[in-house]
Amino acid sequence: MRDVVVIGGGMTSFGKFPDRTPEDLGHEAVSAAIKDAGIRPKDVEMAVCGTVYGGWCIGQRILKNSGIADIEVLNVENACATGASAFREAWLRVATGQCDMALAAGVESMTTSPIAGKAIPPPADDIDGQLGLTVPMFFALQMRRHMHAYGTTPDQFAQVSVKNHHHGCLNPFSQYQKMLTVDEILNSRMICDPITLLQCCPNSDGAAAVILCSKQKAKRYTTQSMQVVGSVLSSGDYLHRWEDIAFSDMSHKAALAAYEQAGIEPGQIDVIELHDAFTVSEIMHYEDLGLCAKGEGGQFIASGRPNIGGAIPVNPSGGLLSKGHPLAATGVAQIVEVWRQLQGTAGKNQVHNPKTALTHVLGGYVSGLESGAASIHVFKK
Amino acid sequence: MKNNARSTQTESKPFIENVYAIDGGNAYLVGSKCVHCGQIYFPSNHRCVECDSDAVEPVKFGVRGKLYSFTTSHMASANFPAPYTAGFIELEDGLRIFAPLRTKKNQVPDIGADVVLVIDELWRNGEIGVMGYAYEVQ
Repeated sequence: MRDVVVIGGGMTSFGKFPDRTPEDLGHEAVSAAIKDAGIRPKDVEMAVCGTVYGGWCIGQRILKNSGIADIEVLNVENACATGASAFREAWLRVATGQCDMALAAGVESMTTSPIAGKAIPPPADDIDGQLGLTVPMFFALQMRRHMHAYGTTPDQFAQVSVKNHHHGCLNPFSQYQKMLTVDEILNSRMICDPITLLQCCPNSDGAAAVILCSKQKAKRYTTQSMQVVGSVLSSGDYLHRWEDIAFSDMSHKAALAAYEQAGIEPGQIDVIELHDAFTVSEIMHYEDLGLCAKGEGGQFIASGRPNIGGAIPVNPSGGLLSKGHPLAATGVAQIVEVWRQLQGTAGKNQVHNPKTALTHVLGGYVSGLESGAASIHVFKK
Repeated sequence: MKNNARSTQTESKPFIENVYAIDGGNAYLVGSKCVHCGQIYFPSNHRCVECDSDAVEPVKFGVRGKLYSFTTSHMASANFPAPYTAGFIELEDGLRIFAPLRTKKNQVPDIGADVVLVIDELWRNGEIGVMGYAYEVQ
């Protein structure tokens, strides 16, 4: 397989934009990525796009207003891992030599989606759904178990939200740009105890896109590039095989495979964008991505190491908690963020001189499995 | 019966068929169990994924367990108004399942508490009581 590099990326701000269509959001991200890469629309040979709620043929719909039509377009869905899945497929097309330049994009308009402002009723044969298991409830059960098993405190969970909202203040694309205190977070509206409102990612709209190119051909377009050195996509195993619900086996297995592909140890990653759907998620992923030992996620956030300026900055973009989580866009937006970080063009949230990066998404609750999909990518400048 | 007499019996139905049973006054969950390796599946299935065998047979289980985790939701879900409490139960049979919880008034459960299966009306659909299982914290 050939070496593949990212040569450009772009995204919309994330937020609530009910007057904007998926086509409009996607078009903005695609145009920004093309401009950033310094290519012409006709240089894109194929595209992989994704949306969870945005309807059929999303790729064709968002590309046409950027001057791209009549190329191979594949549309994908993997719940919250959609964007990373789209990126992986585009990477594979270039790595295997099917084409030299591909575009990956994800777009979501949650405010105009069928689930806007309401919960989808569970299927009639979904036992747990009928018995009241909801997404926030699942994470609350993980959170309480983590507190019981490892002594993690409510303060430590809240500190994840403090950090990510602080980072969000430094990112003009972030949905929220508001500093929060531990008290404000712990005293916000209770959702499923102990998860409070400010410990949950918001509903968001937005889009992101990246351009991938074979390393050899990239030199024709730009001196700036970021190489893909690890790419993993996996699915959840059966629930009865999941020993500790406070430790994501899926993320851990995916991480081990990604580090092996990249030939990198966790401690050598300079910047990370991971799936902080809830504060408990980030604490757990410090552990399953190998940034700290199992059970020590609470100590890790308290140490300051995952802050911008710390030893291993996590979610300098503000993460899902502050930046927002338009489902299919998130995985691609993480890659846009680390692309900027590695090129030194991030702005106020710039991490000092990063050379390697990791992105991680996990999502799609499926009854009977740990979760739907996990996807990790590792990058080197 | 006179027209103004009220029946004390309300119509009821299970929330999903064949997931629990009441046998001689005792309540059980109903799943399937692999004849070869003993792995229990809930809900029932037709194939053991552990030993790739289709020799699975019905099993009654799930009477007792320990509370593995719990939470009270302050958001309503399809069938339950807020607040409602539920959790994961580590059954003595080895399986871990999700279920509504029944606690005494003002009781805050502990992880590790003993729980016992009960069959109870979980919600109502008009005149019909919808029955299901829950675990009572001891």
